[in-house]
Amino acid sequence: MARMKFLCDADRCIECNACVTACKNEHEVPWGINRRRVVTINDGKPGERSVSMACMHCTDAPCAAVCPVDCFYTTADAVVLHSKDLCIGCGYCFYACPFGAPQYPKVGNFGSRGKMDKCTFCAGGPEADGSKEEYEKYGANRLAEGKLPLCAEMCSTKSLLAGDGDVIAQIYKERVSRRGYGSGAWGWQTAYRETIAT
Amino acid sequence: MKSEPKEKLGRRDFLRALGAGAGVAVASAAPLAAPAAADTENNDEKRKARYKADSASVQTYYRVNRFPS
Repeated sequence: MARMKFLCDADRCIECNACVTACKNEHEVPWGINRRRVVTINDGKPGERSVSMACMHCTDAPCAAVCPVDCFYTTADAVVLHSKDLCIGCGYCFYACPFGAPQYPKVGNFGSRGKMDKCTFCAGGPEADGSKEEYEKYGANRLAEGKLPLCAEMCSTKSLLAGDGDVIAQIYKERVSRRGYGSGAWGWQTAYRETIAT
Repeated sequence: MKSEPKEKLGRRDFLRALGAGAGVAVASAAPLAAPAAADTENNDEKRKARYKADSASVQTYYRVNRFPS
């Protein structure tokens, strides 16, 4: 059985935020919620790196471990999804997640939270595939349509990989064996001089 | 000494009447158009595999991502 995974090739990410925009547009994610975002370290300095981050669909998901209403479930494709009908917006999953994936809409005063929202790997939720209810609560179900997440399909530099973990790991392995990695990568010395190594 | 005129609806009665009125309004309102349904898929259905490895879109994605870097 295939296991769905994301993998960001940090040597290729140019921080264009197309993945973020594609995700928001595809699922009509409301203001204030970013299911995906680009994190940049050493911004503006030599050796700068950007990584596109979202829910990593953990095998042993800590969000599911702490949820008091057990609203998380893992599909046969190893995608971690949740039910917005069960979610009480407690925020435990937000504190448990090492990637900051769970997001909450600001629906009222006094810091009250709405239902948690997160990346679904474009696999919808516990509603009928392609239904209006599914789209309104969880967004598009591209996986059921025979497609992969739009963030990865839209990536112009092919930095963000998504799909069967075995396949994308093989693709990444081929890239690294061909070009090298970090300061060993082709063109690195030309771009950053010989004094900078990462 | 002139006493205050007795009001028809007392302060506390006013709130009571307001509450009763709201209850009547809710009871007489038309029933909801459709009952709310939660999680229409059952346990097996929502967990089933949806990934289609042989679809043209998925195969194209893997192919273009294999282009030499």
